[in-house]
Amino acid sequence: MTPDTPGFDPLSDYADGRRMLWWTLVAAALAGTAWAWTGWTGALSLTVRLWLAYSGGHMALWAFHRRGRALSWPRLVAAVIGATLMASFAGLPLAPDFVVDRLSALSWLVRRIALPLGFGLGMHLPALVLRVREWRQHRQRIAMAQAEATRSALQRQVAQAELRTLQAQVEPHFLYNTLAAVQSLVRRDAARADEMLDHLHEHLRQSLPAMRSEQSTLAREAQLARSYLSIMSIRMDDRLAFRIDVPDELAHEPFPPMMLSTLVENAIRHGIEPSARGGTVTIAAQQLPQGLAVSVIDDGVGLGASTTSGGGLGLSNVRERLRALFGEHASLRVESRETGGVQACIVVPAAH
Amino acid sequence: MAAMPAPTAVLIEDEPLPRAELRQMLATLWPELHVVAEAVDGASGLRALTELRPQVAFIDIRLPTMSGLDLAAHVSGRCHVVFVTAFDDAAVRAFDEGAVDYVLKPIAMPRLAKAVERLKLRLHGAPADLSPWLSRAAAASDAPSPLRWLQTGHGQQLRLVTVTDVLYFQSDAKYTRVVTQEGESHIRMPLKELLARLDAEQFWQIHRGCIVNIAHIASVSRDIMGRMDVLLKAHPQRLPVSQAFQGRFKAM
Repeated sequence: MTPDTPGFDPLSDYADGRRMLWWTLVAAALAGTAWAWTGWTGALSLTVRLWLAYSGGHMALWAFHRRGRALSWPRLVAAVIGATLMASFAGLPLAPDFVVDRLSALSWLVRRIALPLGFGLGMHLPALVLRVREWRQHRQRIAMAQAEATRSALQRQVAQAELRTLQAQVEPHFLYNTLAAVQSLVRRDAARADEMLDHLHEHLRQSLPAMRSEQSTLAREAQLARSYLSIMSIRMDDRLAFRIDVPDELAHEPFPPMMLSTLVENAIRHGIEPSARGGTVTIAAQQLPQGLAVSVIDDGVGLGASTTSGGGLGLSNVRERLRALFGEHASLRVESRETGGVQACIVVPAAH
Repeated sequence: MAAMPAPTAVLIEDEPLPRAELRQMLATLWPELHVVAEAVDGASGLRALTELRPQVAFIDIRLPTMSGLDLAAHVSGRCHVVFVTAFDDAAVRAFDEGAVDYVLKPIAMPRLAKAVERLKLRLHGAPADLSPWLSRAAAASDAPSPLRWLQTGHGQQLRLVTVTDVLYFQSDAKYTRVVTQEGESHIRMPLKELLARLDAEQFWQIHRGCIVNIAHIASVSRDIMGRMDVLLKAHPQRLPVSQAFQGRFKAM
């Protein structure tokens, strides 16, 4: 009936209204023959009127079937009742005791209409109710199947997104460039090299087991971001400054792993690195009515300066994982700031 | 035999520490080499290369503003190029046949020594035309990936929208409107270009001026006159499907 319930047509019984018309002609011929032989008897009149009432409802349903569009069941039932009523009225002149004056006599009308109307409705309505129930069950099954399909599609997406995150976790580029910087520092500034290796050690230790758990905590993710930012700050020769502002009471809030890092990497790669004067990356967390909001703010070159659109995986990966974990209750918003730079904000629903 | 003038070089590397390291290593391995300039991004690198015309350029592949590969393409045939790159650059695989020299970061002294030896020999001849290798390397490193996010205008603000969140795109007089559940913004990319860069399985054109994300379609309705409309799950807008694009829905 509606396009979203494939494979089920609740009006399929009424598909062939044309045959119904043909049968009406045959019935009229038979009635005519009977009339010619026996005269106009009460029984013959009643049969013809019953047939009229029945076919009225049938034709109404046939009309609905032909339109083939989304309809409401109350309208369908009303149409059947209306059509049967009209057909019963149309049959009144065939009543043996019909005189025009009687049309104004209510008791006569009721007596002559009751039987055809009852017959017509009795033939259509119970069947219609059954089909409604059947159709609802069918629709429910389809909805369940669709929900199941969505769920498994989501699970597949999570798996894929996690795989990509896993692969992207300790980006080889990051690792080798950091080692190149350490190599240089060892000769020039051994203390700084030592500091860098500490940060790298911390970063690797934090990021490797991160993907095994579905949930991390904000404190842990902030720590991961801190080691990454410390390394990049040394590598960029202090062109990068950073601030991490996570209130103690939010430190143990659950937060999905590797998302904050992605935003921080983006801020450096697209905001600070291309900027000649460098800049500052700020991580801020706060509790909002709709959940826990974690922002990564930079004062780098801003959105307009980089390309207008891209195929980068990081951001869409975060979006997909958020949707898989929280549906529509989480959000990711990345926008330019009035004072320059970019603000990226993840909001996840509060844990309790 | 007259002494050859000191060979000149430019180092193009965005990070200061590896750059300093490279400078120092070169000073040890090739004391005669005169480093005339150092650059921190693609644009200033290109300026240095065209103005100073060094014989040798050490170029990092991943650079801000212009990639090392694009940079090398500009000076191909005019200067001997050695790429300096971290391990995982897809481009490196295209160089593995040896025609283009590269050293990996962190730089190993023996490897750089070998590159220097080769450079000394090559200095006697004209710099090689790198274009065939560069185009292969470029193809390897930016394999066409479908568009994943868009930078859209939203009032005075710019905003990043992931394409999976887009319900539909509609062309407007000057812009392309980007409609998501949260609201509307616009991009300058015309529909035609957009269509070429979107995942064709996910985004269907349904009208001359409209592309819809099929993940957000609730149903498709058709009336007795053959008009077809797309109804969305989370948006009241009905999107007409023009005759030319109806076939794809009918096949379902």
